[in-house]
Amino acid sequence: MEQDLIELIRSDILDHAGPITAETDLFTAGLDSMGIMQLLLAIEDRFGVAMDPADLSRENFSTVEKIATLVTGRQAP
Amino acid sequence: MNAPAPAPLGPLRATCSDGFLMGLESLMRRTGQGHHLACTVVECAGEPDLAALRRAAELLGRKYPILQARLSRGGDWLARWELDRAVAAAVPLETWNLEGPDGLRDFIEERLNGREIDIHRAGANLRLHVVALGPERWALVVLWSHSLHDAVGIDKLLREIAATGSFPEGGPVSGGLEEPLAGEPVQALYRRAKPMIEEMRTFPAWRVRSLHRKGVRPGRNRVVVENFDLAATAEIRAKMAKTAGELLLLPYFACCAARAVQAVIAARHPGEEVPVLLSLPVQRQGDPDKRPLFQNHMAVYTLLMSGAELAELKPAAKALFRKYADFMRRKLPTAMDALMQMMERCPSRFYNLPVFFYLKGELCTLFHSHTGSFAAGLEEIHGSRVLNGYHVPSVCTPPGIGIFFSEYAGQLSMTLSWRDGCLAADELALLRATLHRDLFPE
Repeated sequence: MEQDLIELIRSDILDHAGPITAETDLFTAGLDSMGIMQLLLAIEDRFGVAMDPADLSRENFSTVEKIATLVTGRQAP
Repeated sequence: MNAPAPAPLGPLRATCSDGFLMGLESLMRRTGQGHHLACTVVECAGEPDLAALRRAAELLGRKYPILQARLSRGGDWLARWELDRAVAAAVPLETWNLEGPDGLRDFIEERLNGREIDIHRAGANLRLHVVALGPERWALVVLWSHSLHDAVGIDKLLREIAATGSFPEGGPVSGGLEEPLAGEPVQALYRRAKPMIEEMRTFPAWRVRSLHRKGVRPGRNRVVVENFDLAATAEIRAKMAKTAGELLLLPYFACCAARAVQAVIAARHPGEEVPVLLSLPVQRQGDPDKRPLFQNHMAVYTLLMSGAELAELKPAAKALFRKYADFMRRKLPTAMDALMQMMERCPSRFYNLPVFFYLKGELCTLFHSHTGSFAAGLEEIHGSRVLNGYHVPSVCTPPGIGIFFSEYAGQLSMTLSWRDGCLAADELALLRATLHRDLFPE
C-alpha cells in the first residue's frame, strides 16, 4: 500500500521535485488543504476507505507510512 | 560598443480566469459600483524605511510594465495587457498618518471606493500606501486591481517588495504566463464544458438568493476586518479539529461563511428554504513558487448546498466536502475551465449573462475564500518586523457580500466586505454573531 500511496501522491497530488519515500514529511513537501482533499478522494476511490473527521490530523497525514497505517486500520473488518 | 537594447515586450494575454474578473469589473462599472479593487494590509512594528520602500517602488515599476499597462481587447476579442505601450514609472507611493480606532478601516474603505486605479486606461494598476498608525506601528497598504492578480500573486509581490531585488539584465519582464492556454476549437470546448452547462441548468429550481436587493441602488463598499490573536485562533482551530478534523480548512470555513449569510437571508424570508450557492476560487497550480506573479490563476468551483445540509455545522462541513468530491469526480473543474475559455472572447458586459439567466438575476449567494497562510515567509519589511497581514477585497452586488479568511503566524483574520444597501445594521450583527457562534467553542 505504501508504494501505491507514494505513486498516487507523486502523480496526482504533489508537484515535488525531490524523492518521496514512506518517511518524507508531506507537509514540508507542499501538501496543503486542497492537496489533502484530493488525497482523501483518491484514497476513497483506490482503497474504498472514507475517513472520519476525527482521523484528519496533521500527525496522521504527515507521512505515507502513517497514512498507510490509518487506511489499513480502517480497512480491517 | 553599446550592448544591444533588450527586445521589447509584446502584449500579455489575459487568462480565462481574468475573463471572469473582467465580467465582474464590467458589472461594477455599469452599475455605479466603482472598480474591482482589493487592499492588502501588512501591519509592522517600528518605523518604515521610506527610502528603501521608495527604491522598491521604483524598481518594481521599471521591472514590470504591467503595473502601468492598459488592459484591452484586440481584433480577435481576446484581452491583453498592452506591455508594449506601457511607460515605465515607479509604483506610486504615498504616506499617511491615521488616528483613532477606525482610522485604518476608513482609510481602506476610501481606497476601495476610489477610482484611482483604472485597468482600461494607462497608468498605475497598483499603488503603495505607507500608513503610520501610531508610535512604533505602521502598515503597508497595497491597493491593486483584481484583474492584475489574485491573492497568491499579491503575496508573491509582497515578498518581492520586502526583498527589493534587482532589475533584470535583459530589461523589463512580463511577470505573467505568456500563453495561458492552447487554442481549442469552440466545438471541442463546448463538448468539454457541457457537464458544467448541464449543472447550471439545475440551478433555477433552487431559487438561489444572495444579499442583493433588487431595485436598490448599490451603495459604497464597506468592510470589517476581525484579527483574532494567537489565543483566539487556537480556540477556533481546536473547534475546527473537533468538528471537521484539523485539515479540511476549505470546507470548514466555507460552511461557517455560508451559514452566516444563510442566517441573514432566512431572517429576511422566514419560512423559505434557503439554499446557498458558493463560488469557491481554487488555484490551478498548488505550488505558489511555480505560478506567475500576475494574472488570475484560479478555477471556480460552484457548490450548491441545500438549507437542510447547512442546518448544523458538523454535518454541513462533511456535506460540503462530499459536494467538492462530487464536483471533482464529475470532472466539473475541467468543464468550468472549458466554459471560461469559451467565454473569454465574449465582451465583458455579456460575460455573466448565462449565470444571471440560470440564477434569475443572481451570481452566487456569497463570495468566499480561505487563502491559507498570508505571504508565507514574509517576516520583515526593510527592517520592520511584520506583525500581521490580511486581504480586503471589494465585492460587487449581486451577491453583495464576501467573507474571506487568511492566517498570518497563527493569527486568523476574517474580512467581511459588503455593499451599502445589501446589509442593514441588525443584519450585520446577525451575520457576525452567527460567524462567532460557529467559529468559537460554546
